[in-house]
Amino acid sequence: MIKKIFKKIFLIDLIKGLLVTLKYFFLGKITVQYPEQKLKLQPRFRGLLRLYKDEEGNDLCIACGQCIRACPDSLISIYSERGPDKKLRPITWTFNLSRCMFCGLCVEACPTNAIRFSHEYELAVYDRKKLYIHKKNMYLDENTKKYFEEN
Amino acid sequence: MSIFIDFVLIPIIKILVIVTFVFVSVLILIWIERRFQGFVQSRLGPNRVGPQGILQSVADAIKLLTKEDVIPNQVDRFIFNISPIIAFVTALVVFALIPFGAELNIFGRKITLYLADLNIGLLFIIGFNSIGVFGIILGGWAAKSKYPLLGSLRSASQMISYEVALIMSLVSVLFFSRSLSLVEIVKAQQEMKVWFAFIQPLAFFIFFIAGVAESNRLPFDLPEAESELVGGFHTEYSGMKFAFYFVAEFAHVIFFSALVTVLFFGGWLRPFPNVDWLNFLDYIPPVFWFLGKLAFFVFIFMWIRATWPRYRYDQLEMISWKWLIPLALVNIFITGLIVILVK
Repeated sequence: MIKKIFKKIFLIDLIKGLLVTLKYFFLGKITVQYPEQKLKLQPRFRGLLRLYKDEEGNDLCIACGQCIRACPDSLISIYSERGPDKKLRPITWTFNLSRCMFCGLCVEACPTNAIRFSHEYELAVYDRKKLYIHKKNMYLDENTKKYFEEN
Repeated sequence: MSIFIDFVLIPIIKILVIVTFVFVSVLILIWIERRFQGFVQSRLGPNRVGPQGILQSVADAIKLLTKEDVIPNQVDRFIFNISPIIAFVTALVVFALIPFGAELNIFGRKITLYLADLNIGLLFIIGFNSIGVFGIILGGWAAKSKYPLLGSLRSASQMISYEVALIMSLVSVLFFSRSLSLVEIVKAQQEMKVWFAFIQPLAFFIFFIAGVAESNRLPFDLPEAESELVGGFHTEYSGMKFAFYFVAEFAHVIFFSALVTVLFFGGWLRPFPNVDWLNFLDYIPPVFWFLGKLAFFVFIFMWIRATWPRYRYDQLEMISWKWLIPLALVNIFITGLIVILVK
């Protein structure tokens, strides 16, 4: 009882609150200064879709059309022709990023692991047309930065 | 010529210095407050514009100045336009009476570090403070929208209840100073060799709480109450007029800190005026002491804002009418009794 009155008169609880805020003033900050600092991405991070080639530089894609069928929004379209070895090869491979929800069903469906998620996530562009991505810009190589270039 | 210098030139320079001081410190304080609150909340606050973000409030000011001045259709135009000016001007005028330091000798001329030393200084300040509230009340009323109206109604009754406590707490200080002039109050503390906060701690406590409530700061910012009233009395204001209200609020914070310093913490006097071996502190200019104490109280304002949540409206009224005003009355009674008995 006396303790309670003492607490009320000298505003002990309010002062305790002040000390808590003062403590947090000196503690570390959790903000990430984004363009300068970036968080480490997890291995399974779902970034941009990329096409991959095998060691000899041939397309891994065999134009089987599983990804076209898997895509819930029908964002992928492939035109393919048989090469000299009678195997299907994709000639054009277009992908509409503007409506992609990164569900990963195409990645799961691909039998040859030709299409995978990369770790790129800065995807803003000024023009919608740039979000239609063609085959030559789909590879993760020296063309990486050309991802959004038209044709 | 000498009359011209004494009564025209020097006052104009003083006015310019004081106004610049208020504006610059408001700009800096806005930045410091946002930074401080950020740090308290484990984030960094504005740190992009200029080194450590110090130019953030300059950028904000430019933005507010160049913004379109929106006046809603239904408002009472004249009152809507004039009320930010009322709030702003009254917040600035009272700075004329704040003594920033003792007299200075420049070029053989005595220069006082205050614009005016009225013998009714404290009364003048309290009066202008009450007029400043009209800026808020009228602004909320003229907007003819429900949230500003609620905010201004709250402000009206809040000001009535806290002004009583504020003035009551001052009475017991006046027993000792025997003058309403701020300069005389500081000089009385110099003669008594003790700051009034130590002989009147209760009065200081009540005055400070009432001061926080008067300047509409958390935990008493019910007229604004962003989360319930969408900004309260300034909901309909934008651009420059909003900036006026904003600057007025921060000027109030600075002003109340200055007033607390003058009334209870010895104005420009150095700490421990009764301890002799600390005499070397006299070499530091008095203005420094004044500004240091001022900064300390402004910091406490910010600290309180960063810590405590807003009171409910009935709690707010209860604190004033059930606690502060009776306590202030008891304080006056006891102080008066002691003063008479000691005599």
